[in-house]
Amino acid sequence: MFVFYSLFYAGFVWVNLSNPTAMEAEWLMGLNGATVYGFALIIVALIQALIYDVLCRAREHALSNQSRDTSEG
Amino acid sequence: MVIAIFLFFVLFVLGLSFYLGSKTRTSSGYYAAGGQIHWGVNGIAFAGDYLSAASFLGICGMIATVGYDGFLYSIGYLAGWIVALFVVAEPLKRLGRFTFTDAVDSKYNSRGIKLAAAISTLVVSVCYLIPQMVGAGVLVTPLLGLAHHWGVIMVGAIVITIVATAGMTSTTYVQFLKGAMLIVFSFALVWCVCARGLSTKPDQGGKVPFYEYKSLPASEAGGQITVAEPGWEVVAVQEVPAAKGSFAKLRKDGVETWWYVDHKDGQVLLRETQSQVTDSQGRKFVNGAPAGEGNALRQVSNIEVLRGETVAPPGSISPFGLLSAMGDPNTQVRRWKDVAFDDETGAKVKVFYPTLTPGNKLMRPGLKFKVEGTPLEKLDFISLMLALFLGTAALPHILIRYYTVPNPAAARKSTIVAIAAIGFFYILTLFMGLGAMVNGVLNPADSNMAAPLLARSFGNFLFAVISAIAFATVLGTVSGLIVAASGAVAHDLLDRFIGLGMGDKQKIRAGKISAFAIGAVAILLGIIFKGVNVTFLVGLAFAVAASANLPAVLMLLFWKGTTAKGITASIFMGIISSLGLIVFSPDLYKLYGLDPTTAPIPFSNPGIVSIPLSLITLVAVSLLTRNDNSAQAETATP
Repeated sequence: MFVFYSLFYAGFVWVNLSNPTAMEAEWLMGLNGATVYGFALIIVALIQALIYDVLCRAREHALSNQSRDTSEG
Repeated sequence: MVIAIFLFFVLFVLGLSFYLGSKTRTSSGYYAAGGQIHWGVNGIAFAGDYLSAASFLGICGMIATVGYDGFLYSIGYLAGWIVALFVVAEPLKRLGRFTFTDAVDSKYNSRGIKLAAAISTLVVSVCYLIPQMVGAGVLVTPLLGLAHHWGVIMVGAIVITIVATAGMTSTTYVQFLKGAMLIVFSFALVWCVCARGLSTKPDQGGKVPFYEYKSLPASEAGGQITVAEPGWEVVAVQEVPAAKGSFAKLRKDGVETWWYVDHKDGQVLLRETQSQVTDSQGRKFVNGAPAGEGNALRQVSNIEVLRGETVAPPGSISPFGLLSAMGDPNTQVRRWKDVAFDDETGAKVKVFYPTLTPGNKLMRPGLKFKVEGTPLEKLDFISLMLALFLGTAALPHILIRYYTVPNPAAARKSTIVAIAAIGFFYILTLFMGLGAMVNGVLNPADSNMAAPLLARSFGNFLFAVISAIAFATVLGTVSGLIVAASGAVAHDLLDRFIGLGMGDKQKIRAGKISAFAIGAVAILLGIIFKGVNVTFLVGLAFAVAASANLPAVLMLLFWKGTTAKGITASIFMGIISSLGLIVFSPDLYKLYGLDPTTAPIPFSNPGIVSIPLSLITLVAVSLLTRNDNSAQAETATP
């Protein structure tokens, strides 16, 4: 997930440098590329953080079940 | 009412500090709030710590003056939390106890690391303290009518009191309350901006009549300019290369004013500007008249043409509608630039002159960071984005907040709460910045006040609350920084590096004395750096943090070959290279009053050089001293 976000972020920097006028064009709902990509970087960060938390909780739950089974066994 | 609300806030914060201070008995309580803060509270406190004067005042100010380029900071600051969440949050919680030094030194018990990490914490904290103190000075001037330096001294005194009474516990709760209120009232401000809508002649809700700047037709012959309208006398014409043009000093009815000489289609048009002049006798003038309470610079910045129309439709606008209208190629915004020079009499002149920018250029990177410029200018942009991305996870006052929660899972959860709160706030900064840009509220001499001045255009209550929150923002962030820095001095340097072997009470006392000394340094620097955009200064602090601390944290966690000497060398290399590059950069040359083109370093953001340099140093020194690790392993083996 970290690598994905890093590439997504690097993509923002790359587009701005290689084709800055693409950021002026309308991308979505009247908003230009820079606004859409900028907001997406913020929203994707939150979505990834929530997914990460769900994955970690599942893992912590599995580990706590495992240790309970071991102690009971 | 403004002062009453403001005083209520300050007294409330102080009261909370004294109350919580009475409960702090141990060094763990002082430096890490006993490790018992709930993750939800800690998450919002993270937001409070992070949404500093730079975020609130600086980013809004930068967006208001250079458009989307200011929003780049919002994006970069938020993206940095992904590094904090995925890479450092949980491991750091496991490794450390009170400070950043505890974490990086946990495997080695090295005197070198203790010294390097403590110095790094101090340097980064002081770099970050400067913009907060500058922000404090900026706030009190319009709010309480005090001079900049009194604002800085006042904040310094209050913060030293807060830190010296309760340490991390009170800092956490102050940040929690402030973080939550900042987000709520910023949302209210954005709602007000959308409800007011867009206008080509903004009058601050009818409170301040829109000022129409004049243009005078003129003719030029043999290098002499003559104004067509009678009564105007051309006193001097000054060529100003930095403005890529010239300015004419005109006299009418004994009042001298400066006008921009605009050559268009073979015609000469003199455009009215604003000016601050200090003559050879030290007398100050604003727009030709003596400076004083009744004569200050006019607030500026407005939409000139909205989607091709010079008259905007009345009424509210949706948030997306506002962004869409601002980014339209047929929208033109009148922004203000400034340039300083000495005139023919030797007087120091600063002229503020308008320039029209189309919406499509305003709403994408390029006005401040030259993404279409030379390779070096492009490198500067990459360097900034790199430092913002990597800096968050290396800021000592953010890292120590991982020690205030009970376990690694709570550290992770509080980071997620922080990302949600901070992300939402950063989206609001774009609306607040643009709101200030189009409502004619900007102080042309200081962009930092954009958000509070925007609030004032909606009434004194919102202004008082927003200013009080901004002031609390400064208080909270400075408190956190001073706790981090005093921890570095008392815990890392005095107790662990020098080995004074202090007891719990002595450690707390040493921390409080350190807080006092660091607070005094911060006050001094806050006065010296008056007038510099605070976000720019924070960007530099991020670069120092990312260079000095992050390679050490990352390699410690992910490379077994890392040695104590490698970490020590890397931290020192990061500090020296980043600070060295900053000190000799064009932006700092401008601050010294020197010609920025003569700066020996051609770019202003050092991260692209100093971060890899610090990393390479760590790897090289670790490889050269890898026997240290084998010796350590042998000693550890029973």
